[in-house]
Amino acid sequence: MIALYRTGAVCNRIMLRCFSIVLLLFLASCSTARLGQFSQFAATGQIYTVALPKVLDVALQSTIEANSSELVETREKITDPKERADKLAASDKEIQRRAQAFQAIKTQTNLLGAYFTGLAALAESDAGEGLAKSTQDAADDLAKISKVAATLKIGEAPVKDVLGDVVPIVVAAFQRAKLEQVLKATAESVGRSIDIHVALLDQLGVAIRGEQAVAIGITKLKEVDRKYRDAGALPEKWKARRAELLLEQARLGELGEALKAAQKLKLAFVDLVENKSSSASLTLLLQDIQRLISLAERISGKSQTEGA
Amino acid sequence: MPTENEKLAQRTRRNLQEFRMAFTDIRFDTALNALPEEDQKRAARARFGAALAVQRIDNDGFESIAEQLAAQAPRIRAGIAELDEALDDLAQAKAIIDAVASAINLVGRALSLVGIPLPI
Repeated sequence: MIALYRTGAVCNRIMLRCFSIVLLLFLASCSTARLGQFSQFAATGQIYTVALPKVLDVALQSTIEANSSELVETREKITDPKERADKLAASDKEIQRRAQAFQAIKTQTNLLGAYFTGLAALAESDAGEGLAKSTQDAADDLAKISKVAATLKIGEAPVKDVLGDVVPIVVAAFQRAKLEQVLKATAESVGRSIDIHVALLDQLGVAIRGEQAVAIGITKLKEVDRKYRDAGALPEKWKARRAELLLEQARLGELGEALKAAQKLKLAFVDLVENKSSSASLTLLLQDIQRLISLAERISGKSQTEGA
Repeated sequence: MPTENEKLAQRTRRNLQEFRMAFTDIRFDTALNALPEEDQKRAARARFGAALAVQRIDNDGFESIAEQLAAQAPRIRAGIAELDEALDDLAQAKAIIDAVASAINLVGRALSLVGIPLPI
């Protein structure tokens, strides 16, 4: 009976040890997966906050371009110098207003970027590895001084070996707890900020498309349509220029999809808050950001070429 | 949800934008050229007015967005400070363990100095 009891006690100890190991591994994998989710979200958020100022620059550039084209077109009919001067001053004032609003938005976007950077730094901190090394070194030194310390064991393994394995798990759990705490404290305002960015990109889309449509429309009217209507020979590259401008008009539609980036950032944020897998929405978000950057570069490059 | 005023502003903006775009249409341009000079001047003023109104509506929207973002800034700043503190906590934990390790090492060296061999 006693032997049976002893066997049962040994089994219980083994079971307990196995359970502890499984629990530790489970905790480690949970913390690591969750840290990875924080890290991915933070990295994507950082990319978004870097891309947005480029889009704002393009939006401002498009406004100036369309405004200048309209000023030139109306100048032919408005001949009074004072009226011309007033119209130019009124246009400049609105452009400066927009530049200031965009600057304020950039400042707030940088702040959101700093938040994402902080999240990334905490989620990706390698303090766990550093602590494990320090703990291991401390345990080794302790073992050198004391024979007792050298023979201490947890299960079958020496204490000094186990310490090195456990510390990163504890640190990961600490990192995760802190991240969850910050997420909980900031979820409402970060979520609200991303909602505002959704509205911002919607409005930017309408503005960029509208201003680009006006600018391209005026260029096409002057360089292609009037030349065709009016008497005289067509310029040598008329066909090529017409194709170029028609294609540019058609491409304006692409902007709509790319500007859904903030909506996907919001989806990814909701996934993070609700602890759901977010890699699919993050991948789509990265594609949108990539498209945004390409469009911004294309529009910006085109204006520089035309301005030259 | 947009307010009635915002909806009205957006509807007006769309109409004004269509008016601006009409001036880029070759048929509209042809018809305009056939009008008396005074009518063409009026049309040019209306065109400029429409463009300026679109800019003003958009600027109101962007300024409102900037203000809304600024209103969230204090909470986000607090979040950043909390993240910095958490990173400091991690760094401190490392510093404490490093300090303990150095102390143990020092004790070991002191013991060997007074002739007590380390049990390696």
